[in-house]
Amino acid sequence: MHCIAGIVLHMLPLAPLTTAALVAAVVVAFLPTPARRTPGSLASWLVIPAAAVAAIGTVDAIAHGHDVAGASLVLLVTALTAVVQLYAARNLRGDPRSRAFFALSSLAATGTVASIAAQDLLLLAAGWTIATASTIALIRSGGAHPQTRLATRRAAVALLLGDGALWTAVALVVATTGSPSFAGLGELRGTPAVAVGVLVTVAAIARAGSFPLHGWLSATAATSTPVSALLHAGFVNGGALLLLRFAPVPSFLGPWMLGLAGGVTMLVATVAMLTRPDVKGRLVQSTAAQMGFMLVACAMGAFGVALFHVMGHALFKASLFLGAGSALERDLSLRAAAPPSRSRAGAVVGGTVVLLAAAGAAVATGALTHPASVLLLFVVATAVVAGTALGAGAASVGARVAWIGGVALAAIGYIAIVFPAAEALAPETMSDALPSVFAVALFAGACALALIARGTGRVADRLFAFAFSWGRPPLPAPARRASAPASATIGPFEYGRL
Amino acid sequence: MTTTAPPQRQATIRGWVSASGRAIAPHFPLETFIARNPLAGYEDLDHEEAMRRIAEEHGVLLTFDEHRFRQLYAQGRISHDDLVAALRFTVREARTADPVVVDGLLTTVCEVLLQDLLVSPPLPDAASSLTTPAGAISPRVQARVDDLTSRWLAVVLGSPSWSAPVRGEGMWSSWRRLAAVDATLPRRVRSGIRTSPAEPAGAIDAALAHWGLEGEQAQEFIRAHVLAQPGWSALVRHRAATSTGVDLTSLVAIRATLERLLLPANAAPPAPARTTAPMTERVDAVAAALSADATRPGVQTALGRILSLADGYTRLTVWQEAYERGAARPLTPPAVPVLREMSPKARPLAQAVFCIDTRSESFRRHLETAGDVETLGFAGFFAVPISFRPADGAPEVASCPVLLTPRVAITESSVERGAIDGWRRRRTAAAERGHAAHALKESPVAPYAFAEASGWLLGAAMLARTLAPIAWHKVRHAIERTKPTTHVDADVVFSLDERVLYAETALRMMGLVDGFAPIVLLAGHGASVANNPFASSLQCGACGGHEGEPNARAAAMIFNDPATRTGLAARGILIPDDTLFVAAQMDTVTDEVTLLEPWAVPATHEKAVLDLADRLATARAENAVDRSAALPGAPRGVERAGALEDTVRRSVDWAESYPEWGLVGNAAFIVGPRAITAGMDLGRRAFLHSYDAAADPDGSGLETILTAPMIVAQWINAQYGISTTAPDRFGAGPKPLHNVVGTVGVLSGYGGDLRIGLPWQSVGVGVGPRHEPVRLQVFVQAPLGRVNEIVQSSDIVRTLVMNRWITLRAREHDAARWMRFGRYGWENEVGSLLQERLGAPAEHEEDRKKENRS
Repeated sequence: MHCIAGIVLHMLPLAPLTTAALVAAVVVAFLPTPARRTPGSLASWLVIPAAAVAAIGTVDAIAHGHDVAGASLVLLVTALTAVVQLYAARNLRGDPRSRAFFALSSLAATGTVASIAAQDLLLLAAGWTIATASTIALIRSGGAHPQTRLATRRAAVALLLGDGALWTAVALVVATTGSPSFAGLGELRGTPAVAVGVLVTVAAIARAGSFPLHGWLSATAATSTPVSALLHAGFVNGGALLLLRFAPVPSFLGPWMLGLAGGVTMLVATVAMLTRPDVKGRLVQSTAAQMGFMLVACAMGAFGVALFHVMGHALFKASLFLGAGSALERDLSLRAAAPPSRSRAGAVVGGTVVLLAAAGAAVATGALTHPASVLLLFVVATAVVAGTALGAGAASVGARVAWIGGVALAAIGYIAIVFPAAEALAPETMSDALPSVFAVALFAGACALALIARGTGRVADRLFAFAFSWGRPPLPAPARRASAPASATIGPFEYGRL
Repeated sequence: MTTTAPPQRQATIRGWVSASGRAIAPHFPLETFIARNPLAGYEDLDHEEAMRRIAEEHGVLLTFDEHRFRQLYAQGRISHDDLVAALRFTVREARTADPVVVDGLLTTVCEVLLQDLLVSPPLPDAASSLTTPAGAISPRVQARVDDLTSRWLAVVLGSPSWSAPVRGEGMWSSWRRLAAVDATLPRRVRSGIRTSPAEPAGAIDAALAHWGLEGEQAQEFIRAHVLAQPGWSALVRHRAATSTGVDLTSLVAIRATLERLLLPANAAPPAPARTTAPMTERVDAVAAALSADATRPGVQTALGRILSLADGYTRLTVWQEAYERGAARPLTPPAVPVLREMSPKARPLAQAVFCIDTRSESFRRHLETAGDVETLGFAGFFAVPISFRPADGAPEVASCPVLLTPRVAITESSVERGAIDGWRRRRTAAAERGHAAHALKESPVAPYAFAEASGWLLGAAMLARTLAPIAWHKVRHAIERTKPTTHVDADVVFSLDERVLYAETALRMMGLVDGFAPIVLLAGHGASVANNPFASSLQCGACGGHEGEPNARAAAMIFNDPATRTGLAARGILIPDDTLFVAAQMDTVTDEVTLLEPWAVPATHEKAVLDLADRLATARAENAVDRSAALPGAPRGVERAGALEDTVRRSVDWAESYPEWGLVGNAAFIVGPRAITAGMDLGRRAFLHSYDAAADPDGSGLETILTAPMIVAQWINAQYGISTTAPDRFGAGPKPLHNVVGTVGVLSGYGGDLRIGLPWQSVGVGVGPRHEPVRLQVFVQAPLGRVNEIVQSSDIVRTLVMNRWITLRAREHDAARWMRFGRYGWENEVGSLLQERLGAPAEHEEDRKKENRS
């Protein structure tokens, strides 16, 4: 109780209210529920007001210009938790662990909100660990499936390693500067600074499921859909905020570790995704790659870009996970539509128009002067791929022109408005950010892999075999059957022992 | 290892593999889910014997286990009388009333066996005794073999974005090529794969030689590998029938090769130990229950002799029989003469023909209550075996039972050329945008900014879909351009002779040869659901897991065709000129019946159609109340509007895991005039097929019913049954854990076996089953001789009936007793089922009420 009171006292103006509502939601999840409702689902009636308060907090932060990033992340996390809980209330009907889901998802949100809103390192780490612990338990709430248990074990090992690193970093800071305040971080020098930078990096990498701590994320495909949605939307991206808070620490090693871990994950996971026939396997690899990009952006000192990416991706991935049951329908409808007739000329025109528009915007707005502008390469590439695909389609010329125009406008809008706004979201700079050439090399690597993955032959075979077995959790060995007589309950083994 | 096995040896091995494959029926990809018995290969065995074999080979039971049965007995769901009757029915020796003396006590064989049922130690959990060498030596290696094989099968059958390296050559060859460069495998294993035989049968031979297996043992080894992951084997069997390169031999070859290489070179499997339940425990338990002293001399022998009449599987057979008697009773059409009106009946407003699907039963009941409408039951493909080419240019789908091959393809088209072109173009453009989005998501450079940009749109949609699913659906529906009026070309692609033949067959089969109403509604059915990979399991089984729309339209077109009617008149079926056949489709989630070609209704029939529409609306509201009471999470105090809205929400809500109950509870197949079941609340548990022996003089209609719709009903019944009793092996598990693989099926989790069968949400809630796994109880009202002939002449029917996979009862007319087809022909049932039915109608009423409550 003391801890919670402490958290509440040190927070942003509206954060205590949000936190209180979330804590109440945890309690409500254990109250008796009307028979027709999924046990525990009443919790969402407190998470919704929490999200409403967070929305007011965001407006307030924008109006007063203080910590917009933190306030909008709080809103994101509470709103996502509310939506996923409403979904789960219908999706987890009959699930014997539904109460655990609602209680733990509310608790995870509490921890995340506390760590975002915290005004000093101790509270940040406390919130971080509450979120970690409840997320590990959430993964377990997927059921008694041996694969779910294995996923829980793997998540526990990797994530607790990250938490250990974070707590060590906090201890180091307190020992060196004598205070747990953020203000002392910039004063760290020498070995302690490098050590703190490295430890925080480890914590962020573990959360993001990036190489070399990537094994746990793919195993979590064995938990329930609502848990996956929360995990991929609100949990794995915690590193962005952590790195932002620790940005003042001068640690030349940290950014390099981040960049390498993120870069390797980006390259490998995108190819691994192409080899996955199962929808959740694809989504997991996609998340890993996206989080790799987030880490690289942080390593380049572009925290604003990273945070903006995190928010967009959270909505993107939560939506895709909740809709994972439509994968079959989508595949069928793609197959059902007449195969698009490919117009080469249209593709070239579409790609060129969009490329010129985006390049023009980059030069005209002066975005190129920004140190992290090299990341715009990925934005331009997206626009060009979109322009090419739409240009090649069979739609009428007018429709294609309209769509390509739309893509070009979107690219210009992103470069001219979103990019500077994102940068303003987190104006912190990093002293030892990676050079631009790193991102260029990464981009070139991604292009090379894209080319290899289009062809066949020995190189393609080796890349395929590598990507195909990348990040595969092993199947657990079958449990020896107990010879004791079975109980008279029937039901799938996923619902087994509680 | 590089020596190749001689062709003859390879052929032998292939033969062994396909023989083993019979132990698991082919699994249809999820896109066209076909409910069927995954263990159909055992149907040529007597049900009890099959139970033994299945327990040995699959480790599952076809029935509930004895714990559950005893629980049902204690709850009164299995009555004592039924249990005694079932015992006397199953074990002939128990029929004698001769006393037996055990330890000075006077008892009977029946009494001893009854105590055995109630108190003996139950059968231990069925555990498969088939093990692969890896299973016997190291479960860890076994899991690794399962893992590597299943992920390979997933990539071959599940079509990932990058599949070029696994295509082109056979599954075995591409596996050999790619596994040899898989760095996660030990070097020794990789080189072993590189030097393995080029032919899959040769690779199996190498494994057999390695373990020193021959003959019977070799076959057992192969069967163990085929059944190690039954889901993938079942899908491979289906795929092997249509494409080359994917076959069971390659699957076994991959498994056997991995197993041989991953296990230490000198490992040898231990000899399997087999244990049987000792008789003494049973004797002790029964003796105690009879209050006899088991230690006295002679008691052991006397009881042992009686108990040896029935082993554990016989006991389960008795329990199942008793359980089924209880289930069948409220579904049995009563043996009382149906009142026949003396004056000719007034012509009803309409006759409505629905699919035999159990879900039609309650709708028909409510529609009849709404007034002036007669209903009939007929297989939902309306006897037109077609494939369908929709107007949007989607690929052709076979819309008929999978037992049949589509005779012709029906094309949907329109004369509104501009409208249909515009509509089609819109759909193509939407699909192209889908392709473009796909390209962005799956490109190594593009997904980052794409996720950022589209995330905000998707996030807004997510919010709307979760908070207001109905409103979201309405908005989407409003944006979509409405489909222009279309027609199908059934009257063109079928010749006149064919049309007349189909029409006559259908009408005679359902006994509708005179007294046609002004409107005859042909209602197919479909289910609208959202975000549900098992959507096709809720569609029409008679249409191959698709909506019944094309068939209803084609059939209505044939029946309305003047030339066909002239042809029918020549064959003695006179359809009045003012009778209009109207095609419709019922949505089984919302109970809404939609007219499929409203533009084809002439002004002369406008009033009648509108009147019918009113009655359909009333029936919908009543049926929604009736059904939603049983759905998990239904609104309380189900008011009509609330129930209706709830069913509509379920049909569009992407979060809903229980859109409807499907065919849960299906237990009976009743063939006869509707009059014999009219007014009975069968609780959506019976397939109702209309039949009137008088309209089918040569019995060919009945033959079709028993050899086609009844078989489909048995498939569905067996599928629901096995998904309930063995949800872990033949069910797909809870929906929130599903991970869709391509369009072929689901995994539960990140890997492992393909989960075949129905998801748990189709058969149960929480840890309680909702479906009652009883074998199909078939009731036929027709001359016994005719039924007899069909049973004798049809292999498939005879096998099912004689081997007790279904129970067949028949009677000549309304007032006759039901006779049961036993091993020695028609018999009165041992036990008192019939007397009870005649003598105590009150009890029957009560049963039915109980049924409704539960």
